[in-house]
Amino acid sequence: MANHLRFVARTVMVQNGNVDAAYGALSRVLSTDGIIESVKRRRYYEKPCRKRERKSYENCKRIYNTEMARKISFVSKAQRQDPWLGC
Amino acid sequence: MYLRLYSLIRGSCQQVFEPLNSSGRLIGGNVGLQRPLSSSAIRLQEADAKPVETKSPSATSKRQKDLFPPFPGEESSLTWDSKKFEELPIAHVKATYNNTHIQVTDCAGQYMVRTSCGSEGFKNVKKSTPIAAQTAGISAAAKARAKGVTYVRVLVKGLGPGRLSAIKGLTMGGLEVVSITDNTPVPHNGCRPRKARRMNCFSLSLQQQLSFSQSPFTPSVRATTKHVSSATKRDSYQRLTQMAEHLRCPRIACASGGGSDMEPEYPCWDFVGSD
Repeated sequence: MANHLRFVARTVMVQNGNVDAAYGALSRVLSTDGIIESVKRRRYYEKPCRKRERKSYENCKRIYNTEMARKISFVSKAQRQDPWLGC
Repeated sequence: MYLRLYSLIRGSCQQVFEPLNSSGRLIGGNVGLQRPLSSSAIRLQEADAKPVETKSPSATSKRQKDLFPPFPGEESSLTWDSKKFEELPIAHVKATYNNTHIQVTDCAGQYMVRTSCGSEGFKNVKKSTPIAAQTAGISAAAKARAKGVTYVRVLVKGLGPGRLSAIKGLTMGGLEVVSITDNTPVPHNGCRPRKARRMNCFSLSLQQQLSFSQSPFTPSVRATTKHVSSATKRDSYQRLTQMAEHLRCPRIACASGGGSDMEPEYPCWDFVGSD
């Protein structure tokens, strides 16, 4: 942050002079925290109706993706308990 | 074991790094492993709550420790050029979308060196390139070295094209980067930014229009053949919500599957700035 936690938050130390790795680590931390996408979104104003649409879209997409991933992982399971064991 | 490891890692450091008994660092390491969300904030909160723990020298927690900077209150035996972390000079890199400014100041904020892509002789569109940022970084590093600066911590502001290459330029110019901080201003809903730029949909390439029609989250095929109006886009959102409700049932309607490549942005105005 600008003045709170000035060099503590959003900081990555550089090890062995490896600036690229440090920058990659920083970008990874920022994107998992959702800072980079929020900064990109705030570049231009997003009207409230667009914001609501986008949120519902992301919600639906998340639901769809999780369900699909569940289905795929279920279908691709090779080893499962024998349901007819004992018959 | 500790001595050897840290003499390898901190090549420039003279003193031996002693294992710290502080709670903040260790908890930060463990939290960073388990939960990647807002690690810094959580680490500070838990640092107050938990008492001091004994040291547990595991390799992963040590690596996490190295990633985090030394606290201002904590005692740390890391020094660069006999300066503590808080006393190192700061290189501010302001990476806007049209330009990149680099200003080197000392720890108190007193100005030392200032360069930018424009001061390097680039004009207009060439200023918003990573190469220009790199040259600005090299010249800033040269001037700072002339003033006697070797180790510097970098403060990056903004998401622009010159964000990484300015830091690279600083290292190429001879300054040693100790840490990278991101200081991009994130308003908590403060000032209202400028209005969204809208591009004419006719400018969409035919390929893009065809790709729109292949994923389940698109307007109807009939609409893609001509100018995609906003009415059909709203219909697509309604169909989305209906589809999500259908997904609650065991059967999944769409055969193309979750692996299909949906369009990069949700169907809306083609905003120029959003990549």
